[in-house]
Amino acid sequence: MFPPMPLADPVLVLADETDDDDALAQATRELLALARRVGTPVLVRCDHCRAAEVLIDIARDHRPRAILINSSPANDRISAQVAVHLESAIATDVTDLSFDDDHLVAVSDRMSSEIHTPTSVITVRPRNHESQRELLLTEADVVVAGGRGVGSAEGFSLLARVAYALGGRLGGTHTAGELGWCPRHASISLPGARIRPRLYLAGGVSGSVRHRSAIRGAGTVVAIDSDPNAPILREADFGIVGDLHEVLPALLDELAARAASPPQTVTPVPSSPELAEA
Amino acid sequence: MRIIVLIKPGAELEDSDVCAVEHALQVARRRMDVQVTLLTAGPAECVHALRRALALGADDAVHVLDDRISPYDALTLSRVYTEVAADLGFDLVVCGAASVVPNLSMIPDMVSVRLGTPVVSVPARSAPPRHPSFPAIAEARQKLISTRILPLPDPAIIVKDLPACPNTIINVGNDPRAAAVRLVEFLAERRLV
Repeated sequence: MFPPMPLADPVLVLADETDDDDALAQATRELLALARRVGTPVLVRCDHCRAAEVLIDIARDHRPRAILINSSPANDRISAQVAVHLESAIATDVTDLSFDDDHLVAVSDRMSSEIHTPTSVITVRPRNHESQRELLLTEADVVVAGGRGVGSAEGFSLLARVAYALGGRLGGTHTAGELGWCPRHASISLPGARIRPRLYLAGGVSGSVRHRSAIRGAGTVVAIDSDPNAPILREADFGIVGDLHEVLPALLDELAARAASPPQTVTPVPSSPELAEA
Repeated sequence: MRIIVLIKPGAELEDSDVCAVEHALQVARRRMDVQVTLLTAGPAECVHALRRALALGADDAVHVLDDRISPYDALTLSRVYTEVAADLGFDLVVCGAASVVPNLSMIPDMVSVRLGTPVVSVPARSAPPRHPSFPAIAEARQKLISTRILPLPDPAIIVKDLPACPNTIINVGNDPRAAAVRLVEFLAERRLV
């Protein structure tokens, strides 16, 4: 049924639905580059309604080390079906793959885990957050917020540009809401909006107890503040002590430069992956 | 009618699990014959989360006690949940959707595939927060938590290291550009840009 795959250590990659014959989607290319790290990438292109069956059939025949799938609500169902039918471990939101003592190691934001099943299902969250802009502040994946340290309502326009560049939503502290620099409904505080984004970037926020409680669910916290003793810097994964009116324009330039030239991954994208057309 | 609410392992009850219990209770309030049963698997500390969920109004709980069950191992957890749910018998299975713990967001889908029936997946903050009363907390101490021990295979995933917050603090000095470059590198490393 499927073309022969005389391959060493195949790693299946489920192609994105938006792929066509001429170009692969950015998300698919990133998956292929990730697959290259631990084996030979094999691109599986099929109708996503049948994707689970197809992947299970190929995996039973060829015993791949891993099956890489982009994370989305529809794809998560496919991942679950494949993992259950193959009795393989599942790791979500993986950022890197490697080998250690014959075991696959999946690295994600907060941990690295060793996989002890012959095949594993790896889901990877696509990088772009374009679709996040319509979401509520409390549901957004990326939140940028400012506090009294921003200094003025005009300063918030700078934060708004950063939020736009990161594809996130703009919020503020309780004080910023009181001062009229941001809408009150966007105050991240208790009582107020409780957020749980993957990335929270705070500029000019000292980090009151109520504010820190409201951001407890955040994955990665980045804080920029001029006060080295600000409490938020103790909670931040990455803190910058300095004037945000200098740092944020530099950050915007850097993000623009990065967007203009897409980053090269450590291992090059394979030019002609083996294709299992189903 | 029995509604089984799957509770994720851990001493703390997650937001989405609270909402799952709340939605199950909304069904229970409309009918006389509904029994809301909580189901969790993991070490002994999971009892704290079960007591809290019982205080919210659930009727009883089943705890599959095993220290070897990793809270990150969705494959083993889904197998345990399915075996016990099938053994208890159920009319509806409810589960919190997202999780603060990596990998566990797949649990509703995986249990649904194993059981061959839909599982209601409840997002966090989909029900208004409700705090149990003191009588309810006292009553929860009397409710039954039955403990089960299942023969389990070796764990599918072993978490190697959970790095604590790395907490990199850099001083800008006179070079904001260098700080911005390091920040973007940090974000790229975590696949956030």
